[in-house]
Amino acid sequence: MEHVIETRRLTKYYGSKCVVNNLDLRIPRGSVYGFLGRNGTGKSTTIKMLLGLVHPTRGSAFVLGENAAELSPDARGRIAYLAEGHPIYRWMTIRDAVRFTRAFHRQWNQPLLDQILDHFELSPKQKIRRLSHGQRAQVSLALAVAPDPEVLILDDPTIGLDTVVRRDFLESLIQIIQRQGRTILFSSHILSDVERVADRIGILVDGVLRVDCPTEKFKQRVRKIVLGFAGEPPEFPACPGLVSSRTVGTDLELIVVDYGDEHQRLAESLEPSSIEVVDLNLEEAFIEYTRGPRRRLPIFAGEESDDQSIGNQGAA
Amino acid sequence: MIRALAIKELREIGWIVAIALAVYMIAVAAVASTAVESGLQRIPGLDWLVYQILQLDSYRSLPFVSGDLNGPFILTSLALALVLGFRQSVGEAQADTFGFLLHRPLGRRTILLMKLALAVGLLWLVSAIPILVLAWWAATPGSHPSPFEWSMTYPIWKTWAAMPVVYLGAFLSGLRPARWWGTRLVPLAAIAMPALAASLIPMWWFFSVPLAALAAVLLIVSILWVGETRDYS
Repeated sequence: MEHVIETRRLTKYYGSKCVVNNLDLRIPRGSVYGFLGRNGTGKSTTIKMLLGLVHPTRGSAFVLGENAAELSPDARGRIAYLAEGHPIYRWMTIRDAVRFTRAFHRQWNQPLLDQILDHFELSPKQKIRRLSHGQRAQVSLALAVAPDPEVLILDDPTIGLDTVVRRDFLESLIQIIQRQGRTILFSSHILSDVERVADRIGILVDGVLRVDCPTEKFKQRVRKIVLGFAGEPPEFPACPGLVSSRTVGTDLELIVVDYGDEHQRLAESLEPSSIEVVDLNLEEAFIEYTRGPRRRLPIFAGEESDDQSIGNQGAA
Repeated sequence: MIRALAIKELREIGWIVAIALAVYMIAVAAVASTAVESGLQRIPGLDWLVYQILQLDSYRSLPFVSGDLNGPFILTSLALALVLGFRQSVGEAQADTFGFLLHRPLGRRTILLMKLALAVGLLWLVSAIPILVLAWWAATPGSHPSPFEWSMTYPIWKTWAAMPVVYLGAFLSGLRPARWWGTRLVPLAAIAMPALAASLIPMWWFFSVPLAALAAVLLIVSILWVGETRDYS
């Protein structure tokens, strides 16, 4: 399988703080990869290392087969990057921004750009500084897509957009994805966005990639188990796969990765009055997973495809 | 590509250069007026500019010798060089556009060199204009009752030649990551001595120009190195 984006033990320290820790990421060609994590977990730093804008302290990153720290102009032309906040020169009009960006690319799909601008009802005469945040995101997307890039790297593209604009933006993104062979990496902490478009997700927790698997697999494997008791619930014993446990009234709520026979046996040994296994959506699964005690989070990473089983590697 | 980059830079710094040119020309007009006692300096507001800000002599002056252009020229050129340097470096960082710019499919060195070349070119061009205009006026017979030799303009040309060093120092100060403004300004402090020496040492072809050139080369190498190795986070 060809990996368009690959990192090897990618590590970044800012002073004594480790922002990205031994990141091994492999994104196959044609996949849409949702890069998740709470604020300050290293998503933007990783993305900037992939683009050579931040230098890793250790390890390496490769995009389109080239070392990210020394990307050639040709490779840059094949990678579109939407930075967080959509920075474009504010003194420019949309037409100026298009002219400026177009000058750097041999390939330029003007009809597609016009179509996107038209869809978002943006006039080339509009000044960038007069555009709303959402409109700037739309212009950025149009500029990023017009050179027909092989790889799109989007750093939290929907942050700050209202629901309608976000939905529109994602619809456009889905249409872009449908063009064959295009690989997309996008970071976000709006889980419903990721669920709509990503076929694979990675979750960074404190700079460590704790999850790297197909989106559906993640949802299926993180479960909430509710044990009902007549009185005060007992402690649940530590075991592999247990993310967290908390008492809610007379219930004991467990978040478990790969709920199986062993967990069932342990649960039954506490003699609860009821055992309920609850499926979680991506957002719930993400929240429950990432708010657990971080050092003990079970890792699911390193899978190549949906067919392979996810190994619970235990604590990092 | 280069043209697009040049147009973008011109649009961003053109207004600064235009303001500097206007100030230069006011200074030239003021110097010329004191030289011929035209009464121009007695225009309300202009007297304040001529005597207080530009520090020109109130007596009849000899262009490039006494009551000359040097003071206002140095002040304006210093301000222009500093503003250009910081506008092109800190300006990109503050607008968060470094990532956008440096991701263009063009070598990072080319992008930085383009910025530097354009700004140095404009700085030299616009700061040469007042010298040439005043020299042309002074050299024109009948303009003022004193002799004129081209050698009288050499001191001001020395200052002119040293200004790119100030600009490059400002650019490096803005580009270089620093924890606070004191350490940020280290490159500017470092270039103060060579810039001053280059504009004061008498044998300028032998000392001033090579000194300014050496400082400029060192600064350009540092800028390219910092530009390649710093994090744009």
